[in-house]
Amino acid sequence: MKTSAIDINKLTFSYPKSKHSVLDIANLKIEQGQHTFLSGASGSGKSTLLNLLCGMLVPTSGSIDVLGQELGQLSPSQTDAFRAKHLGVVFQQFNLIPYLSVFDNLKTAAYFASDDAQHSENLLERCQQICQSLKLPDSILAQSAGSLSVGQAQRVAIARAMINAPKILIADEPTSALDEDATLGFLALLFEVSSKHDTTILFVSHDKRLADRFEQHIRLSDINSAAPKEVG
Amino acid sequence: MLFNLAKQSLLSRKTSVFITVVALTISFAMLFAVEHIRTQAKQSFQRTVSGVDLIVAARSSQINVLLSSVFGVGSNANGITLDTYSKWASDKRVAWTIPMALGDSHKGFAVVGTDNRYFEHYRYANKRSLDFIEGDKLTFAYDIVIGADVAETLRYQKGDSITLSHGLGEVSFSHHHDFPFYISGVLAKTGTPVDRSLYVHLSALENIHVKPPASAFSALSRTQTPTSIESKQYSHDHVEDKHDEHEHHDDKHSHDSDEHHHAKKKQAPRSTQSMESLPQATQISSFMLGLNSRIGVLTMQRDINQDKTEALSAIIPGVALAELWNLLGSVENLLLLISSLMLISALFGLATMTLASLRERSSEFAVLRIMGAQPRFIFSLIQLEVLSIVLLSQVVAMALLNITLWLLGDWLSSELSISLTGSIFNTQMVFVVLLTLLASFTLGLLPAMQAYRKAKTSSF
Repeated sequence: MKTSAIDINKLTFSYPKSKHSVLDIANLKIEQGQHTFLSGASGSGKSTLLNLLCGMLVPTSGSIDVLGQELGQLSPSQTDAFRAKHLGVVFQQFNLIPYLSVFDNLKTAAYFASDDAQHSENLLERCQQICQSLKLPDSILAQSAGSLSVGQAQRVAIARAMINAPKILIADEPTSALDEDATLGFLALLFEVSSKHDTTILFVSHDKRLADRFEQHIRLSDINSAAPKEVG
Repeated sequence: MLFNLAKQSLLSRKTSVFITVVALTISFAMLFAVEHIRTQAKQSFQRTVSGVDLIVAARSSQINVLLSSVFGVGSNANGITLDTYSKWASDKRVAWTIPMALGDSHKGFAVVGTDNRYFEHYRYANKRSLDFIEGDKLTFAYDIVIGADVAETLRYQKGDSITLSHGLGEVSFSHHHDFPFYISGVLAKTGTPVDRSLYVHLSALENIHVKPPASAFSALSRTQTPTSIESKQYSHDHVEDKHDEHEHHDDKHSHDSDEHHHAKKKQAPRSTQSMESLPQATQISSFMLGLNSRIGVLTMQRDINQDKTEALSAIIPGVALAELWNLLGSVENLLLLISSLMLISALFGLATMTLASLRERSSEFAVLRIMGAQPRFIFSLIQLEVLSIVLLSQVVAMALLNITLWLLGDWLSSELSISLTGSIFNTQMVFVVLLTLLASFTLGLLPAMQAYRKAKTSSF
């Protein structure tokens, strides 16, 4: 039996010095390789949930299993290493480090995940392969990340998230600043690259028009008892 | 990875980093300069005289006796009679003495009247004796021995003849043209005021201040007719001296006149008049003495200071030097304080710049955290950036200091008798560098800890 990619049980979370819970999720399961669309209104707890899944926050109660590993059993440094190896993240503004080259951006992501020499040695080759799969020329590796166009930055952001072939890819509102065509292009790329590694995708967005393109649509208000109910 | 990130991050903020580096460089340069000059000056002063038990001069303060007798700075209005000197020189406790008379100069360099005991007994640094690179000590009455800097600056060598001027200034209106001195020896460099002095026999120095009898130069070279050649040469030399003292507008002309003057100096005959033939000097400025047993130095000092025939001051050089440094100590401490405050101010500027940049870089740190960077990685990144700026500033400051010292070294040596020959890279400087790095690390904790705390709570 395949382990779930994400398995949440009786999860609650409230910020320190706050009386109210931000999250109260009885159960959430996402299977490996599944493409899931997570939607929620502003303030519904999407970012908090993502932080908990990445191990950046610790639940007030309950458990989060990621790829069969209960995050609560790991120390902070083990959590950081686990996240580096198994999770890839694409951010809303792509958030490439602008003063580094494209290669250095990818190298930085690989650096935190690598624990063996082989992984490091064939890094350039991996970067070139992933650039090719994203239809980026090899020459882009030497370019400064701050000088890329939006389309190029979008692809490099995916490349950075995928450089370690993570089992789970989290995309946090990556298309919020893109037009429709760019958004569709981005999604196509994302599915294409993740399919090669059977990567589980958790796509967070408030744009419900995209939900149809995913296998599963989870509304946070449906599973989070602490969140305000959505209309429509 | 950390070094590359820090380097690229600093390069992306070139302007603010450059300004910070300039501010720090100035502060470090000041601090290093004060520290280096302080250490070197102290060493320079301490190595000037060695192995001398007492220095005796007419009643005056310790520091005045030390400065006038050893460093040629200032003067003592009164002298010591020869009788008094002879009395103490023949004391059974005394192993040797060096009489000294000051007051004349040659083109800004002090002339010291003494005798060959100076070259025999004078020690400097770790009891090193004086060596000659050319010639030998005083043989005849009108021989002169010159220091290394005198030879180098005025381009003199053994065999040249020179005239002395009355007074200690660089420009004098009274020249002893009737008494040319023959350079019999050139001393090797010592790094002390010896390099900047000329040494003549005590009796000769006194004698040139007395109107000479008609036969004073009857013992001049027997191969030449004394009177006619001498007067032409000396009047020509007098013209050339005046010419040398004016600014030269025409290089060709001055070059020609220097050569001519030099050639004339070479040709001037050497007086072979013996030292014994001159009347004995009647007065000296001071004398140095060494004892048979150092245990008796305090008793000897007291006895000299209580001399009823003449008011004298006997000083122990080491004690006088300590007093001098105590006096200078407050100035030295003030300079160190000012330069330290400048440095602290610049370091606070660096901390402020780094703190301000944290706000702009919050998304960068969040991304690094999500990629797997631990909070201590972020802390180390900030500290590395701070220390890189500090190290760069230190290197530039040291380079600047080296260049400045190379440019000003001669001036410091000539004006203040401070020889800055040592390298700035010594134990003391290493200690200062490490201390300032520690201060930088400590101040860097402000932004680094803030970045660390923010990194711990970084989120989407």
